This record gives sequence, C-alpha cells and structure tokens, in this order.
Amino acid sequence: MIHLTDVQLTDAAEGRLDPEASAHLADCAVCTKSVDEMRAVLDSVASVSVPEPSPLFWEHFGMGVNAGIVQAPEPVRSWLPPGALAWLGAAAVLLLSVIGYYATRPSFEAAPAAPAAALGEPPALLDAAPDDVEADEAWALMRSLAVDLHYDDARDAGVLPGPGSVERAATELSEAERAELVRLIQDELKRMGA
Amino acid sequence: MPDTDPRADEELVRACVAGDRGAFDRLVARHQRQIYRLCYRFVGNHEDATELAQDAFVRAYRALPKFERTAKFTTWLHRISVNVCLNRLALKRPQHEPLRGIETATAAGEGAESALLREERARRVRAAIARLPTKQRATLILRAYHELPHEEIAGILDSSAGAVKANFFHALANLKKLLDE
Repeated sequence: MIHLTDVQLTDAAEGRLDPEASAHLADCAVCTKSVDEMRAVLDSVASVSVPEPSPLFWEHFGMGVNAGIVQAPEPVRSWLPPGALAWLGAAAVLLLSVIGYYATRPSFEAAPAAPAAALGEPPALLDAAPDDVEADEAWALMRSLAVDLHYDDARDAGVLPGPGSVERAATELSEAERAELVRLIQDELKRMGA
Repeated sequence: MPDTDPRADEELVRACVAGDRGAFDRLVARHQRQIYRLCYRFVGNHEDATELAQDAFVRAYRALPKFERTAKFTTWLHRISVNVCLNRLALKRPQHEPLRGIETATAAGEGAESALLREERARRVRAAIARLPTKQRATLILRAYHELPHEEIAGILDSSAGAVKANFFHALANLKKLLDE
C-alpha cells in the first residue's frame, strides 16, 4: 500500500486533504496514526503563548524605531519608476559589451600599410580604396579570382558562403576592411607562388 | 498609538518613499505587535524580541525604496524580520525567559500545581522548538503561530509551497521526537 506523502499528511493534519487521499486515510491505520500525532504536537505548540507587553511598551516601541531610523541614513528617494534601475543596469552592460567589442577587435585602419610596404608593393590599394564596391580596384581582384571558381568545386572545398553572406561582405565591409582582405589574399597568393 | 489610518500598506509605503515620515509611523503602529511576537517566538525573551523587532523596522525603512510592489508589504516585512532573527540566532543563543506563570495563573483562579505543569509543558515545547533546524523552526512559527498561508511562507523563506509543507511535516515529526525524549 502506498501511504500519504509528507505534503498530504500536512494537508490532512490541517483538515484540507483532497477526496482521493481522504479515502486512503479512512482505510489506513498507519497514516491515521501519523496525522493524529501531528495534530497532538500542533496542540502542544499552540498552547505556548507570548506574554503581552504593557500598552505603554508599544508607545516606546515606536520611539525606539524612530531612534534607529535617525541613526540610519534616509532612504534614497528615486525619481525613477520601480524596476527602472534594473533596466538601466542591463542597458549599461549592453553598452559596455559593444564598446568592449569595438575596442578589442583587430583594427583595420592602422595596421595594413606596413606589411604591404615591406613586400615592396605600393600601398595604393589601401590608400586609394574607393567606397564604391563596383569601382573598387581591390574588390575587382577578388572578383577576378573567384570568376573561374565553380559552385560545385567551392562546395566540395567547404568554402561555400552562406545565403546573403557575400552581399553582406560587399556592402557592410568598410573600404579599409575590403583592402585589408585583399592584402591578405595577395600575400597568400605570393606565398603559394601564384 | 492606535492605527486609525484608512490607507492600505502599499499606499503608506508610497507616501513614505515620497518623503512622508509619518506614513512609516502608521506602518509601525499597524504591524509592531505581529513583528514583536514573531521575534519573540524565535528568541524567547522580551529584551531580544524588542531589539530585533525594532531592528527589523529600521531595516525595512532603509530598504523601502527597493520594495517591489509586486509583493505584499507584510510578506516583505516578515521576510526582513525572519532574516534579522535568523542572523541573530546564528551569532548568539538567546536566553529564554524563566518560568513566571505561577503568580499570574493563580491570580486568574488557576491552581498553583496546574499552572506549574502548564508552564513546564510550555518551557519544554519552547526548548524543543529552539532545537529545530532554522528553516523548520521558521516554517513552524509562521504556520502554527502566525497562521500564514503556505504560499506566503514560501515567499518569506524564498521557497515553494510544497517545500514549506514538507518542512512543516518534518518540524512536527522532529518536535514529537524531542518532546518524547
């Protein structure tokens, strides 16, 4: 036989057991004994009272609270509605994350000229990279390299771009970022002897 | 000071946060007995209960601007008071008051022997409650003496209603063992 759980025994001792459990209780001597014992202990507990202080005590009680408050700082009165601080905190975390991202990502603005110059290449691609993608000389190189690449070959090589990613790369990279990408590819082509 | 203010607790809280100190006096007058009794149940003597109850109100006053109005003020105040008491118990074991019911009981017409037995039983129950684990003790006090619903006790003790019922069951079972010793 499955007996009542702790929670059900508590409900039974407090007189609000559900009908199904009540039916079990009516037939189960073990659970009935447990409930009777709980009620007996509760009766003992209830018999212990708190002495009532004098009426004068309550006047002094409030004065004691006020004395404690005088020693404590005033509550800060906020003009913000409740919960606004939590939202402001979340916004601050988000702002710091964005600032942190831009502060720590590799800079495409400052670094690229030196390696290209070291290789004896003119830095024209970097300095003169136009903002117009179609007129961008560096981007034209990218396109010329990719023009003979077949879709199946790219897929087999695992370099297939995701839907929309090429468009995003072309339109969202800054001119300096596009120039840096081209420089990296040119370096790689030279290293491979192409 | 009798509480004759018709405003609800939450209105008084708003008034207090807006700068009306008198509103907090109303809240103290309204809830001081209940909080004092709660503290007394934890520490078993008048001096500590008074100090703890006053401390609970001072802490509540300081924290009023952070009071989440989704909760009932009394639930929040009870939570502060229980924490104040449990913190005190963690630092210092309180001295329960000595038996003193014989004079008052006999004055009320009860026989001296009967009063002595009743006080002795009460002393044993108080001592047994004091030996319960803190969460069981808090659950027992809030349920058996303050008759708070399980759900509200769960809010005060940061628990669930099911856990409160289970704690209550274990508190009574442990009390029975302690009283049978």
